[in-house]
Amino acid sequence: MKRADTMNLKTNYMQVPTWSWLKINSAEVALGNQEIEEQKAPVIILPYGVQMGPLTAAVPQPPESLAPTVKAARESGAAPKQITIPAEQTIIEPIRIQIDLKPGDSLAAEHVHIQAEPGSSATVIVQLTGENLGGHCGLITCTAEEDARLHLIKAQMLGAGATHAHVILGEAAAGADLQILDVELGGATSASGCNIRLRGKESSGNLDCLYLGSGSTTLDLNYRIAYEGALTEGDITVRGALADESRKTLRSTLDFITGAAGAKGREDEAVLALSDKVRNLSSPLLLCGEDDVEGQHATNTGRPDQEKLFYLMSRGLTENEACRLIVEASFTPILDKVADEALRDTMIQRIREVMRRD
Amino acid sequence: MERKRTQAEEIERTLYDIRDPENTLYKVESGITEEIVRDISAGKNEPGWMLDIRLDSLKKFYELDMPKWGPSLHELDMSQIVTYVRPNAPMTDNWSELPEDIVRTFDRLGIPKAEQESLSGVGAQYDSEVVYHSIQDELLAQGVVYTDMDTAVRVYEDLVRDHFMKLLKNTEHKFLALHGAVWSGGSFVYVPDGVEVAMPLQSYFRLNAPGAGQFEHTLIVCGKGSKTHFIEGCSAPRYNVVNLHAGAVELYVNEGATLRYSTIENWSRNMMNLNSKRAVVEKDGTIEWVSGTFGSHITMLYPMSVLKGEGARSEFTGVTFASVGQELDTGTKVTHLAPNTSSTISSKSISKDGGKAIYRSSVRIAPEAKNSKSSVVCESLMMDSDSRSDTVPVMDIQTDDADIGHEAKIGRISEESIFYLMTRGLTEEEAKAMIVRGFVEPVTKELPLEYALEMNRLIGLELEGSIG
Repeated sequence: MKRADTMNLKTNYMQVPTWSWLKINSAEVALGNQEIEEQKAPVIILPYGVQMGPLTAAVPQPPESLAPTVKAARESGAAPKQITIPAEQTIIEPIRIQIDLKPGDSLAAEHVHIQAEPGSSATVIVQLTGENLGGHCGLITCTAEEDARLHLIKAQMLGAGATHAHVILGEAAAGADLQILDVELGGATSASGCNIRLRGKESSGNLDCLYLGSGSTTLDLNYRIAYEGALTEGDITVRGALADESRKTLRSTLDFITGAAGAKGREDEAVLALSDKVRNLSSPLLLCGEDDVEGQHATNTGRPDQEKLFYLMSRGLTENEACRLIVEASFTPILDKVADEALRDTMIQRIREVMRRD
Repeated sequence: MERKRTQAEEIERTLYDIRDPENTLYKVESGITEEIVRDISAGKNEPGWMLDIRLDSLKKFYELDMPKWGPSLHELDMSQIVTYVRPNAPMTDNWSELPEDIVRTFDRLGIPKAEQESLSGVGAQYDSEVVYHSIQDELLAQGVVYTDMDTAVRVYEDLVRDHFMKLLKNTEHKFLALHGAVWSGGSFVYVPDGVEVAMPLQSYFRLNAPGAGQFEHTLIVCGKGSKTHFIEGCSAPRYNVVNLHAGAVELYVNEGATLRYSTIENWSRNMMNLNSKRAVVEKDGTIEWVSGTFGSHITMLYPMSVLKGEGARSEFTGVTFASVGQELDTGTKVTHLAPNTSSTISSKSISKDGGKAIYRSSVRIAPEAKNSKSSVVCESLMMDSDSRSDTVPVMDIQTDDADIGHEAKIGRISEESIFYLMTRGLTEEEAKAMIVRGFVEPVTKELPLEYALEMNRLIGLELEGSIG
């Protein structure tokens, strides 16, 4: 089917808006307005024991801040798919969702839902690659039912000209654990969002992010963990580096809802600025409607430690090599969470390619 | 076992809530019109340029929208606000020349006593006009100017004209435009180069008339290498109608100068406090904001520091106490425009009984601000789950050569801390009291003793049972 599609998204809204002159209350991303010849479906590789079919489960709903991307992905994509991890099953091999944009693709969009039934355990790897100049708009929803364990890794390594809007919506029931890692290493303009609702008592969920900006890339991130159940725990950890004239905006929210007694959350962002032309905007929100919680955030921005740089250079490394080493060291705690060795190596390779500017 | 919570005593407002009978010489009709603006200007016998500013501001007021963020201001009906109330009192430097009820009010607030004991100068505003202003003779001899704004517009016209609403422009937001149109009262301070004002100057703003607005303008120019401490206090009795405060504070801190600007705000719970404050700091200058926000129904207040000169410095220390019916949206803004500038922000908030405390800030490091540093620490104490505490900071870093740190914490008082102090010999009650006093101590220690005592009295924390 051939249809005209305009995707100039205004999305990634601040959950609590602030001064408009800061230009942080929302992001705009132009995903292209070319005609789509046909809707590409992602390639999905399922390990033994995992089922896939049309969407039947109730999927997590987005907060208003991410709703435009979710709407665009739903309206532009093919029929949503549901991957189900049966109850009490531990799936060793990862479920792979691959989106590879080929030259000529103008826009790819998809919605995949992952339902981890009670007591199940699985890892999902969403990998985006390609050289495409068009856009990608994706939605992953996931529900971890009681005591389920779900680890989702999104690796965005699109070509330097691509635009990208993506949202992950996760919900954890009682005792469930949801680990989400968002790796942003490609694309010209990206608007990535993630919302985790810790709904059930003693559920947990961490949201990690690693990003590297280079050239004139614009990266817009919008993350939120909502603590709804009692004794829930979840952290947001972000490690990033900005080179050249790249620009990054991070809106991250720890949202303690009334009733989440005993909840604990921490947000931690560390940014390495590698050029005097970068722009780094951060807004770590801490919203609290419950007294019996522990919430904290910490943000640090600065150049690579000059003493470390000097030491490494005194051992024979060039400045860029030394800088690369420091960036990789900063990323290591996040990269270590990528259990898939091949994917981790691909990520490291990508980081080295971007940093290789001697 | 039922969990007991930290109990924070309601702020004792009796002192502030005593109303004087309305004794006004003149007041304008409610609402905002050109006729009212011209009327205010004519009553002050202002020069034409000031009327031009007022009329231009009125135009901007009509053009600008209400803020699209922050607390809801839907209860504010500008057509019901009386923007100018002239009290039936002369402007004097002798308390005995003022009407008895006005003197009694400021007596209760401790202003004449503080003037005797610990201040270099005092200004007292009642509704829309300053009724009392004094300054020590030795400061006058050193060339220090401390007077009301009406006098300053006449006597120091060039100085005022060069600075008035140059930092806070009437295009920035609707309430600054409103301020520009109907401002009245406030203080003007000029400290010559190299002069150190040993004891603080204090201006106190009292709004007595129901349904009125107060729009005082404070303008301080600190000469090179000078040192000044200015204290601002404000309060009003409670009425069942909305009162509005939209003052403006413009501070010019020249090379090597240091200015501390302290505020203890205790407006009544029917007050919309939409105040604007800004300082521009030149080379090696320092601005220190000390801010205590306790009163008002709604507050939107974010003192801003513009670090314009190399090595300029800003410190912000603030505490906000939000209780029932209050939504206090406070914080600060810092813009680093020059190399080697530094800023520190320390903010504390307490929310209880359904009160809502919001910390909002922005720290912007411009590309030219190489080797700048900023450190932000904000802590929020939640007393119950009926209350809210939100932290909304933004950092905009436009250079690699800056060291920026931000930390925030939210929660109750930890049981471990109480336990630890009890192991050191304190009773449970003593331990709790010590922790809460310690929580606000970074602010109280920055205030002169009598104001620290006032703050402690305002907070009036009373602890019982096991915390948490």
